[in-house]
Amino acid sequence: MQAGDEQALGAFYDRWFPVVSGVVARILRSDGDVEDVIEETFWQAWRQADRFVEGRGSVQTWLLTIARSRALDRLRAAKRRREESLDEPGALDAVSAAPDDLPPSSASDPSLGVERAERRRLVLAALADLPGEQRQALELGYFGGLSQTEIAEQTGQPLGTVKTRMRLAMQKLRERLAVLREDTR
Amino acid sequence: MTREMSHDEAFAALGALAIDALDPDERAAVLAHASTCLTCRQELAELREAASSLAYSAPAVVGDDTRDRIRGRLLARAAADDRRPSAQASREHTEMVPITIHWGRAGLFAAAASILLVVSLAVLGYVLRDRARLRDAATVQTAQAARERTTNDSLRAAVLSRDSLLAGITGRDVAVMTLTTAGTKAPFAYMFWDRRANTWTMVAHNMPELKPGRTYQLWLVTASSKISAGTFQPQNGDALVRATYALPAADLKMLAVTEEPAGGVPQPTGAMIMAVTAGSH
Repeated sequence: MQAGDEQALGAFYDRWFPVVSGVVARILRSDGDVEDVIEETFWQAWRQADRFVEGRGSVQTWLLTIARSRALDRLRAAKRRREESLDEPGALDAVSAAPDDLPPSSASDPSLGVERAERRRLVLAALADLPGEQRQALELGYFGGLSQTEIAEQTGQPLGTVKTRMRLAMQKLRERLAVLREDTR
Repeated sequence: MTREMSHDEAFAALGALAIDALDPDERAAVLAHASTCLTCRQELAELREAASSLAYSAPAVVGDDTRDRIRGRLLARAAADDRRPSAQASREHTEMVPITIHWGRAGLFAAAASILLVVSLAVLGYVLRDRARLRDAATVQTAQAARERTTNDSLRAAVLSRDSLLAGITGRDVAVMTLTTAGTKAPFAYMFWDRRANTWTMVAHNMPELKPGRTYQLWLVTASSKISAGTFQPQNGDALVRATYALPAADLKMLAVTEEPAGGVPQPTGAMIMAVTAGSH
């Protein structure tokens, strides 16, 4: 894709669409916004492919950072327009959602669906192992785009408590998901 | 001005930074520290990797129609994109060739020679770029083929494993036993014993979470011995245990699961979690 090959873009899109669309849909609610942001995420990846440097991080981290940033930008813009408070994304949704709610397969390669389902199972298991309040802090930060201060305000917990919960949650998550690290490059 | 932050302070805030949940001042202070601290940079990279995996917890809810629609638009945009990386490189190369020709009579031959040189360089550049493109494409194709081979092998293994599992629980000679214990939300399990293939497939539920350094161990108990059929660690209370062991049908007296030190033990030592007596089914 770095060479500007459209076919490579197509393969890249097929590979990453499920997880990108999942995180974007989880952050946003409007179908139109979701579709726009997914397209713009891959467009940005295409245009900035030459800026990706292997070794500085994985493709997964790079692409999902783009997707999440774009989705949160859209969410915040909509919030500003409507002057509405954030509708909490539902801290337990992800944890209670069964792996079975995945579509049966990826567009072109069923093995990608299997791989994604396995990753999802591991991540959900890691989240399920966290105490509820740690998981909530993590999900409000990641999917809600809230800062620790905003999380403290929204949950009514002291800022120090929120910081501790987030730190512990991230440490545990990193340990539990270390097995995935080698596979994301 | 960014305040200076100690290593311990910055290190403790890296998790929040990884999901971009720091307030701007704190974020700037942590980043300033990390820019001079290799330990923090490495920790941050790992935490960002873990944070990005959170995306997998979101269910994939966008349908195939939407997927295909976006794909079509995206590829059409890419095809029409004259600012794509390869087009940019091509344009930059063209723009880099400085052609300044002074059309004086004395310079006529020199100008012609210059044009020839420029054309030759352009052709050479094109050939070299084309060669590099072909080489890159070949590399990508080779890597793709290797990935596909690996994927095929993995899929084949997964299918074989699934077939074997199905055979182990649905075969004509499979006996089914239920392992239970008393109490609400008590653990229970179904054991499928294929007496012809000598396979044992146990599906357990509601297993209590183990403490670190502990494991569950499955036992086939006969009148004269207690045979270990393997150890297992449940995920969210569930476990699938498979073993192969030839045992005459009449010899089995009991199936039992005990909690033992990690790695298992030759003979059961820990508390019995659940059991079933042979012949009770």
